[in-house]
Formats: sequence, structure tokens, C-alpha cells
Amino acid sequence: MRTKLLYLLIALMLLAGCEKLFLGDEPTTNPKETFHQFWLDFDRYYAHFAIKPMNWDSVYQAHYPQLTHATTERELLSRLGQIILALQDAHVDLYTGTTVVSYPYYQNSPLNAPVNLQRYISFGPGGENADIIAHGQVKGTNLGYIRLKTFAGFGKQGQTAAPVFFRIDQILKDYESKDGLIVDVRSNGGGNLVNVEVIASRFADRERRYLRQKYKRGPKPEDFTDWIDYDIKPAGQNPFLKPVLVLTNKQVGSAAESFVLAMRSFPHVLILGDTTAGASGNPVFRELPNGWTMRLSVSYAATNKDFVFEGKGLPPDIPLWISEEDVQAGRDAILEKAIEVLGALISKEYIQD
Amino acid sequence: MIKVLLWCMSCMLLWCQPLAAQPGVARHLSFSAGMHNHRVLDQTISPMIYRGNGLPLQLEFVSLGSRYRHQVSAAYSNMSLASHITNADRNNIHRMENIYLQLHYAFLKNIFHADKASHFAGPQIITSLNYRDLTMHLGAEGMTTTADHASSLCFSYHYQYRDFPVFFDQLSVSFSTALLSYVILEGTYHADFNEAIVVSGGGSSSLGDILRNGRFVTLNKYQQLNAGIGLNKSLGPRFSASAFYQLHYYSFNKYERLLKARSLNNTFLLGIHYHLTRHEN
Repeated sequence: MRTKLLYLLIALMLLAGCEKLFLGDEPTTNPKETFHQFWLDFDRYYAHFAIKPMNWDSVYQAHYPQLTHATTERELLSRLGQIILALQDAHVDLYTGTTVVSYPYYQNSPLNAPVNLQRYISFGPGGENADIIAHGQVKGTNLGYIRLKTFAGFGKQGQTAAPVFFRIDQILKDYESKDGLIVDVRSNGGGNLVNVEVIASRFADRERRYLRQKYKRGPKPEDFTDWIDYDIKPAGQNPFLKPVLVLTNKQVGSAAESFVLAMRSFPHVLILGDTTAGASGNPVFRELPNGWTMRLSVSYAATNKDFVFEGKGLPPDIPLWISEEDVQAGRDAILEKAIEVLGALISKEYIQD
Repeated sequence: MIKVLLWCMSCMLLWCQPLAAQPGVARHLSFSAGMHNHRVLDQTISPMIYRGNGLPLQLEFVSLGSRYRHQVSAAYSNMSLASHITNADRNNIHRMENIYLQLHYAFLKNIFHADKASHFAGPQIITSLNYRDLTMHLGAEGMTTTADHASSLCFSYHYQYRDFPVFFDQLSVSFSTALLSYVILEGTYHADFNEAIVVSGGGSSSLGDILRNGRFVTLNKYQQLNAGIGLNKSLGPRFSASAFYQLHYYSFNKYERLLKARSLNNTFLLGIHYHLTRHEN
């Protein structure tokens, strides 16, 4: 009996030690396997090959044979960096620990960021530097101003909205007597769609479709889900249905572009400023066998009129840039124009070109 | 989690009261704790194998007669896992928090009895949840969450040998394998995309919505294996102690044959048993 027990124990322990038998192989840290994993993850998950100027199989043929076990990290980073930049996707990045490789999607555009806001706005509690949402009154007018710096953050229940965004209800209650509102999302790089919907729903006159997305769900280029429609409907105690201007620039990306899409679906809202980033794909993080981390887009988005804005951005209703001379003079030409247009809209004198 | 364990324990106590009134059946409740080595490869979130150790807790009720053997147990472990690239640098973290929960119910029939040895076989239901948060990069956005959840109808075999000659009184060997399973997260292609969640509105779906997205699968999708060996030593008419080793393995084809989740657990437990009926040495 003792011998049988011993055999049994040895058999079980051998079985338990056979990690390879049960779990299979995992990639090693060598440059060839790291490149292969990088290529494979994009091949399986990346949603924008149909609209990006790149033959992914050719990328493999161009780089993989050049790699050896002796390839340095620097050379590998250079090759992966070239590929990432060629994709021209704001949601594709590579993090090595010391270096971040990202496509500089707004590098060649004027900044058009807010300039000298104190000159135009009497800020409320928290001032201009209030966390996430800053708000105040436009000096010398009966207009309100709300600046949304980001849509990042989650509530305690995981995918629920961050509590700070529900402050919009109190702000809109305070501004219910205003004739119009300026919502400034310039340089807002996005965040989470649930936060976007909390804010946008407070401006909704009725339920409207604003965004369509489909997700990669298989390795073939055509493996996508059906279109998933996103609708925005009225919510909150104090909906604001008077004229609203949303200010944008080239740094408005991702979830902030979804906000612009939702807002522009309402008849009392106009968009003013620069075209947005065109960063539409929901990104996921993946890890590479050498310890680097990457991010890639796994969804394909379109407006409610089936315009695919990835890489193109959302053009404003009223395009306007801030010149270098204006910046030097401390003038925010976009905000000034917004005040002017909003005044005309309120007095019903505004005629769009 | 403590509330869940207390609830399980209360249910076991309530359930075993009427059974305890039946003559000729030995019943015991046991509490075990020990060491758990967990290894997981989930290709929906990473190509890497993550490994780590935890301190598992297990509650068990066994009702053993000459013809039937009932067993109900609940096991829980929470651990932090690492791969060979963990902490490769201070920004790329690569660490996984893993919660592992298993519920078993077995109803086995004595199929062969010879002298001191008994052979039991029959159906077993195993529900397991393996939930993991993988943090890859510094910052909240560099996190991916996924879980494997399966409820399986298994074939189970249990061998028991009384009057074990060396120190211990009893040896038991058990084995079970899944035949039919109900799995959820079937639509998962990569971890942050689950059709059930996305279609129902960006994460606002209830647990019920997710559970309804499950499907019945057989061995082509989900394979599970449990094997264990235990030794028992009497400590008087009401108490006994045990040492138990268990191997649990599953392989779940999450997306066709392309993306798999595989998990291997080695658990060593020391337990104390309370006999609801007086235990004869």
C-alpha cells in the first residue's frame, strides 16, 4: 500500500510540474518573438486596416527576416516605431518604460488652445484650475461658460460615470437664467463614453442617434460585429435647450469627439474652432514578451450619417484658428467669435454661411 | 467574500441537519486552509503565463453511507500573479490580481466494495470562477479585466481505503472530468470586448444579462480535470485532521481555436473535520 501511495504521489507531482504540457509554450524575450507577437496582435485585433495606407503582410516581410537574436532593443524599437508612426492612429502607442512612441496627430496644426481665459470669464468656485470642470460667466454678458478638461475617470461601480461629471446638474441649475452657453472642450483628449453621455444628455432635446461603432471580433479583415448604435436621450433636472456653442481644436480626440458628435446632433448647438483629431477607435492595451506595452484600436466608428472620421476628424460648423499674433496679444479669437455668434443666435440675427 | 463563505457554511449546516438523523451514515463538516499555486495563460489578455501562490480556504460537507457519497464544497483563493516580464521596468508593471472560486457538488454511488476499499462513481457539478485584473502599464487605463466562468457536469470517481497502515487512518483518491459545461464570456475576442456588455450599452448590462449570454459546450470548447489525493487521521470521536493535495486544470477555447484560457492549480490543504455523527475509529 505504501509503495502504491508513493507511486501515486510521484505521478501527481510530475503531472503538476508539467506546466508546458498543460499550458503550452509562451513567447521568449528575443526580438524575433517580440516582433512576431506585435505583428500578430495587430493582425488579430486592429480595426483600421481598411482605412490605413498599409499592407500588413508586407510589414512582416519587410521587418521579420531582418531580425536576429542579436538585434538590439534600440533597433527593435526603431522598427516598431516606424510601423506605429506609419499607421497614423492616435490610439496606437508603444511604451518601453523610458520611451513612448505615439503618432503626433496634432503636431502640424495650430494649437488653438484657450488663451488668457481670465480676460473673458469670471470663474465660479474652483476658478479656472478647477478639477475637470471649470465654469463661470462671460464678462459683460448673460452667457455661461463651461470648460470640460477631460472625460476620464470611472465611478466606484466600474463602468459607471465618475461622480464629478454629475456636477453638471448643479451648474446648469445655476445657469438656467443664462441666454446661452459656451462649452469649451478644446484640448480635451477624451476618456470614457459614460462620462460623455452624462454631460451631453443634459443638452438633449429628445433621443437622437450620434455614433455608430463596430468591434473587431476575429482575425480576418472582415471579422467585425454588426454596427452598434449609440443614442443620447434627455436626462437631468435642468436640461439646457437655449443656444450652445461647443469650442474644439485638433487636440479634441477619442471620447471628446463622441461628445462633439452627440452635441452636434442637437438643433440648438453649433461647433466652432478647428477640426478634431479623428481618433475614433476604442483602444486596448496588450503586452509584448520583452516587457513593453502597446495600445491599439479595436473598434471602427462612424457618425450617425455614416461618415468615418478616423484620421480625418470632425469639421466644425464655424471653422476658426487663433493666429500667432492673437496669442502674442493674449486674445482668444475662438472664444471671442463664440461670444459674438452666441449673441447673434440669441437675437436671432445669426445666419450660417 | 467572508459573507459568501458564511452563507455557504450556514446552508451546509441547515442541509445536513435532517441528513444527520438518518442511521448508518457518517457526516462531517470540514474547514481547510493551505497553499495554492496558480498558473494561467489567457490569450485574450496576454501571450504570457502568469504564476503565483495564494492561501486558499475551503469548506466541505460530506455524507458517507455504505451506498452513496454526497460531497458539497466551496473553495476560495485571492492572489497576485507575475510573469517573467513583471517589473521589467517601473512603468510597465505586468501584474495580475486573480480571484479563484470553486463550488462542488458530487453525488456518487458505491460501485464496488472490497474489504477496506470502496469505489464510488457518479455525477459531479463544478462551478468555477477565475477572475483576473491585469495591470500592464502605470496608470488606470493600462488595465484589462477578464474572467472565465464555467459550470460543468462532470464524471467523478472517488476511491477510499480504510485502516491505512501508516500513521493515517484513511486514504482517498479522487478524479473528475467535465463532460458538459455552461460557459459565459463566449463572445469574448479580446478582453475589453464582450459582445454581451457592448451591445447592451457600454458596460451598463446587469449580471443577469451576462449570464444569459452563456452557452452549453462540450469537450471541444472546455476541458476540465480534477485529481486529488488525501490522508485522514482521527483525533477522537468527533474530530479528525486531513492533508489533501489537488490538481485542477481547465482549458477554455474562448474564441474558436484561436484564443485560449488555460489554468493549472496545485493546492495543498490541511483540514480539520467535525463529525456530525460519532466517528468510530
